Amino acid sequence: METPPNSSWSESLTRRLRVLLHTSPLHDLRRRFLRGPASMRHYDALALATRAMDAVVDRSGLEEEASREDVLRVLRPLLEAMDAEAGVRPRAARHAQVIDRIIEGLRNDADKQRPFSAEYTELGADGAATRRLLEFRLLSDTHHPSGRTALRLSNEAVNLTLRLLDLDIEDAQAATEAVVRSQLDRGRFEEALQSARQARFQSLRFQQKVMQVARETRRDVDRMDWREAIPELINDALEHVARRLESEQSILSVAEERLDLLDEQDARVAVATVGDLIRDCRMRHVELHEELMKLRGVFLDAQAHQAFVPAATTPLPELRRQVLEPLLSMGRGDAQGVIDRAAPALLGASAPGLPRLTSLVGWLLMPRRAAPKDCVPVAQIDAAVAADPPPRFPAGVRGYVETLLESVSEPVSLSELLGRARREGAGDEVLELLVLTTLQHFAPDNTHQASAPALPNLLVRRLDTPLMDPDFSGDELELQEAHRANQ
Amino acid sequence: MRTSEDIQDARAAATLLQWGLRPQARPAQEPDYRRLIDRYLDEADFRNLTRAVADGLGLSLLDVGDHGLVLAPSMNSAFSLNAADFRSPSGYADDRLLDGLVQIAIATTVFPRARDLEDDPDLARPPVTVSEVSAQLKALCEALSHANRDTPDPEASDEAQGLYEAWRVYQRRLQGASRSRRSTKRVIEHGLDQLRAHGCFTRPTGAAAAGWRPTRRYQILVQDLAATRLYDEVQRVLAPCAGS
Repeated sequence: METPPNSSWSESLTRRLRVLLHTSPLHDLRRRFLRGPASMRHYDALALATRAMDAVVDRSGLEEEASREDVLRVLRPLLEAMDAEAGVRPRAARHAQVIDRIIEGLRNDADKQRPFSAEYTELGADGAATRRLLEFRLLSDTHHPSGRTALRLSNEAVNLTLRLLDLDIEDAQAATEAVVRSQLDRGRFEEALQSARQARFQSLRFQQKVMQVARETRRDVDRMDWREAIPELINDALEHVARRLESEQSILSVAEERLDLLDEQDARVAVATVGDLIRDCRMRHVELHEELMKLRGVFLDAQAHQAFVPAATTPLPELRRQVLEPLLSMGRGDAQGVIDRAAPALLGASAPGLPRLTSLVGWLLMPRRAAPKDCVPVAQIDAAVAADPPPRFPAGVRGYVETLLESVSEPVSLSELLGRARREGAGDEVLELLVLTTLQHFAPDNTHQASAPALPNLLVRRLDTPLMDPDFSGDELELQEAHRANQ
Repeated sequence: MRTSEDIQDARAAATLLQWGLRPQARPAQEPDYRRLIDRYLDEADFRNLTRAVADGLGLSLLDVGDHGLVLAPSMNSAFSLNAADFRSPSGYADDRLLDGLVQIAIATTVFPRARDLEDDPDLARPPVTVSEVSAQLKALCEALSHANRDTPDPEASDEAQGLYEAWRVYQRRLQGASRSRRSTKRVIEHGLDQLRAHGCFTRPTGAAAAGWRPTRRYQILVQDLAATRLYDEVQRVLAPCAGS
């Protein structure tokens, strides 16, 4: 008797289960924020992560791919809104920290940026349960041709962001474009804008699919089915590009037509944005076309190149256990031999410098330079106190203040002295120096010779009343001759 | 007979390889480089010609694309670095060995597991720090020292004959003054600095930056070539021992 098909499990259930597991790092991130520092608990990590992924996908494939700073810029309004809602003052440093935590969470920094892994159970055709391990990435640093690193979403994360988990991307794109056109026709401009964004995401997805085929082929031509599947993909993709370019053109003409007829400002902006998005789609499709034209070359190239490379007989080694450890336990002669033969490959090719006759002559004629020495004789420094800097106040002013202070015998307050000087017609400089000299006597700075009190006989003490003067403020000081105070 | 077109093509192929020998040059910034890369990808004849020239020079093309050329020297190639290029002669016989061990420890820190070597080289691997590399070597030396605790110390003549094990050389340096110019940390720093000079690492700056980040070029060099070459060489030395 034939076994009935397994009714308790189906492939689509496994697919849904896998989709659900992909969201687990996002929930973990949210939980970490809720348990994290109190100053960050009011941020909704799930909302921030979703927006961050959206920001990255928005820029991927462009010349300037998303960086941490871009994500920070895009998320700042959201962070500020969350601050406002919680009644917290926005702070740039905290925002930067939050963004780092979000990026680190999506990149799995906790596990050295390795793929996330999640276990799940599925039922086989025989009804037996099997535990399987799903590994996936969401966000990674990638090398950008400019030499910087940029953030990029994995295909899984792009799918999560675009909510297209169970759709054929090509159909989805055709559908979205049809939707954009009908929305424009019906005057539903805001909706058309959303749909145009979707259409752009899908162009991007398609481009990524083709680029991935090229990459995989360059690495290992046997890994891809170039006999049937890939040529089919190329043909489909070329047809797709032709259809899309046509359809985008018609959307653009509808948008331009609408733009001419519309008076309302908001609607005009929305339609203009739809136009921009569709133009961007066109640009991507033209690029995709270029990639597709190169793809066959990539295949032929990889085939020619890899055909002559002997298939690796050894699997990739574990460097620590299989290279470094045996190398350390070898005799130094053997170890040196291995290093001399194999280690240069770690640095790649390097051009040996060849002498140029003109530079050689110039170099030979150069005056001799003293060879650098390992130890440099230290000359004893002839240390002397540098001359005092030129005085801040002119000699006349200094003389006047000195005389004034020397005349102090009975206790007198600083306010009184200032009043007396003013009455005698003293200028601002005199008053300033008088206050400074008095302060110097009140709390002499003994660390520097030049600032020792000029009049050793003067004693200054603080009174509990404030200084009575129009220009100076502070505590009142009382001045008197030292030997009188001691009596 | 060669036509002038053939000669022009040979010249263009050699120019492309010359760009590849400048690890800091990027097609995105050099229109001539970009044009030659495009030509390489588009024209099968030019590709074959470039490969033949590279082969004659003792170079193999590991990767060609938007990021430029990644060239690897074949064994004994004139483009292969030797110990003298790596460090000016110091009079310390150990330096050459330590420099090599450090290079391999750096690669091990960047690719700790065998499966990391299978990753897409476009994914930027996390930066490494001097302490991580140092800890890796230190732990291995300590484990070897522990395993050898019952064996007698090496004979004095062993050192002269090169039988003194490599880990003892590293450990001896480890016990030296930590602030010395020849301390293990300084040797690691020097190694990373050399790798940076050859376009294999960058040192990001800024608040969030820490350590040294391997470039795509370095990842390709290790993943496509150096890891297996190192392994094969180690196996070649170990094989007669296993047989005996």
